[in-house]
Amino acid sequence: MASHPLVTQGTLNRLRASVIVPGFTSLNVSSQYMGKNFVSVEPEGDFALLIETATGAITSPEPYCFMNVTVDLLRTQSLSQSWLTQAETTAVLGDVSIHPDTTAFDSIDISETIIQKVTPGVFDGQDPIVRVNLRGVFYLNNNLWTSA
Amino acid sequence: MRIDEELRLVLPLGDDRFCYHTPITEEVFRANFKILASTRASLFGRGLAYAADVGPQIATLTLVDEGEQLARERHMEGDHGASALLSELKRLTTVLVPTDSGWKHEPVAKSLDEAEWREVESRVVFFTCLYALSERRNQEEAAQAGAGILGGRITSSKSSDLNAFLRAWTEEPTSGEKPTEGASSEADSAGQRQRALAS
Repeated sequence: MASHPLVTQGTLNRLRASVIVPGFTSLNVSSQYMGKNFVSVEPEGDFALLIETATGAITSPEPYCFMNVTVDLLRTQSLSQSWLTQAETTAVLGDVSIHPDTTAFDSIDISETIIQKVTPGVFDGQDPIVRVNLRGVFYLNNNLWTSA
Repeated sequence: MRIDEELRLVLPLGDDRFCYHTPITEEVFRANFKILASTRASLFGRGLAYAADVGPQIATLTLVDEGEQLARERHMEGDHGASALLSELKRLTTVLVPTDSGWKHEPVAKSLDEAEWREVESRVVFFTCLYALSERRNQEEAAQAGAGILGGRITSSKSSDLNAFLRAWTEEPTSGEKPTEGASSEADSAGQRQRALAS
């Protein structure tokens, strides 16, 4: 009988999740300043296109896509106010890195990042979340440049 | 007092990495002035030489000790916000790690182990006590003096200029040369540092 091909599955450490803003380091967010949803990252659009032809398909890699980042901050901490104040001053942040909940997955680095919106939330004494939506450019398919 | 958010402390870690610390904001200062003042008084109470010699190594321990003492005086549990302040200092500190495209900011939790962070944390606490409690007109001088004691430098470089700042620092001769702008060389004498601290 073959042995079980067990591979250690690892452990997620949600306290590792953090957001680094090199141009405005006072906006850095670590887990102690986040709500239960921490931070999420979602690409917008495809990484490559598959265009139908008569007999097959043409591939067309995208050089970039937009990346949407949602950070839940705590309204009870002044950091959430700092983000709103930053948006009032300038919503253009430049580079931003999002560090995940495991060391096995590298940080996601986005460029030309903007603060899309800061949602202060409901002031009913039950929801402490100030939601920050970021949007930036995630570069893809770098080989396009060497074969251009 | 307005804490100048444009000044940053850069501390070498002994290899190609650096710690990059953003000073606390005025709001954080207002929330923690008592514990910071007590810590500074304790560190500097035995004279400038003592503070410059052992202050950077015992600053975190002193902060926690002073916090617990302040809490006891008020018949309260805890450390009077010392842990929260240390979390804030950690959030405001990143590690600059060399990459092919220059130095990249990484979170402390990713780049330093506990022992390394404890050492850096104590130096950052020492710097904060020195810098945040100085009069506005003396703040830059205090920051330079603190950075000099810690073997670091103060920079106002924006992110885009930081690579040039670090490259110039790492490539410059280690002795016998005039320090660059905003820098305190390793050769600074203890007397010079003490005069700056006293100013």
